[in-house]
Amino acid sequence: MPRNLQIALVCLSAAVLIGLISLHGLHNRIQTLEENQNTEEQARHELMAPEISTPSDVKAKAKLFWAAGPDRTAPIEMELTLSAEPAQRARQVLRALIESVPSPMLRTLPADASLLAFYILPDGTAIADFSDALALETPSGIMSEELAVDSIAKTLENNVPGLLRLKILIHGQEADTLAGHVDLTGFFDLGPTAQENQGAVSTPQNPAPAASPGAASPAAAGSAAKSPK
Amino acid sequence: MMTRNDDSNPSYDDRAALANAHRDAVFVSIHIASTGAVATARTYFYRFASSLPEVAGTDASAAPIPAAGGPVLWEEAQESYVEASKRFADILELELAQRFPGSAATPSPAAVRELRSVALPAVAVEISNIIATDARTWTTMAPPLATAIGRTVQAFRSAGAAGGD
Repeated sequence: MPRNLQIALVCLSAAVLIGLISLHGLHNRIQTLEENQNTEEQARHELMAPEISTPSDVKAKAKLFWAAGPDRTAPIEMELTLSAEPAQRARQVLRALIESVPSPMLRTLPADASLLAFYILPDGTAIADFSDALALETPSGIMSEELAVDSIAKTLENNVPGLLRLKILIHGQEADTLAGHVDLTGFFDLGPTAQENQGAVSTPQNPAPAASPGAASPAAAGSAAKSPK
Repeated sequence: MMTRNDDSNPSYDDRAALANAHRDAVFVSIHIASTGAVATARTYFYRFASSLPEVAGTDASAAPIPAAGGPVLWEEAQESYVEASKRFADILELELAQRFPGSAATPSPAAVRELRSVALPAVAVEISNIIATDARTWTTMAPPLATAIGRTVQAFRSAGAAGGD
């Protein structure tokens, strides 16, 4: 074999070897970056939604309304640490509604959504300000958007006394619609335990797949019990 | 009269304005859902939230009361047509249930933004589901949907229920 060819082969082999080593390093670096990204995401969630606790917190059963079929929500009882102060209590139940879903099939609000602020006006109007993810990741459609609103409203009216109506904001602003259909320019009625006759269940009975935000699911709906003015 | 014939996207107010320019009409908004059982349909009519109880010390009589037939708040234009809309929705849902098995038997009240400023009997129909990518699913649903709407308009007219409440 000519000497030139031998030199070329050695150079090529060395280049391939260096390339493989670089590729391995690059792969490791990508993995590290992905891990860091997850950690940052967790940190961001923790920062945006710090632990909500007050001196009046006690362990109590809350009724959280998750999807229970193609066109309705149903309560599931869950023991939560709840404040006696209404606004704090509302923050606690809404946070649980997003973060403590027993099964992805029952989810009514996007996992990435977070409650940015919640306050109560003297006339009984509750103002709930959610992050953009609520509007961006709720499946677009009358049924699916009604399901999301219904879940929020029923959870509030069954766990926070004294609320008469609800206003939903997206990132501090009034939004025209939730995801293109359901009107957010008005208010939603919050009757005093209006849906109590449904009865709480500890576990859902054969729950049908719902409009899980972020998951393609063929079924979902809203029971349309609320509407703005 | 269609509020759009292409991929343009008129605002809710533009659509309402177009509808409100007509008398003795009904407004039907057709949607395709991203959820729900395939080949089913559901009808919605607008339901406004209740008014808050009067706060002590305020004079309710001081609030302006729109004269009958006079101007109404744009955001509440549908309010005086809610009952008519519900009657229209009742008939339409029955028609749809006959043609699309598995559909709900009764319409649902819902805060569909598009209906709010329409000063006519107004309903929204949502067809499920967008996951049906086969064009034949949609082409086969179109004729019965059109028939259901046509028959509903006819029945509604016959009942003389088109006006506001």
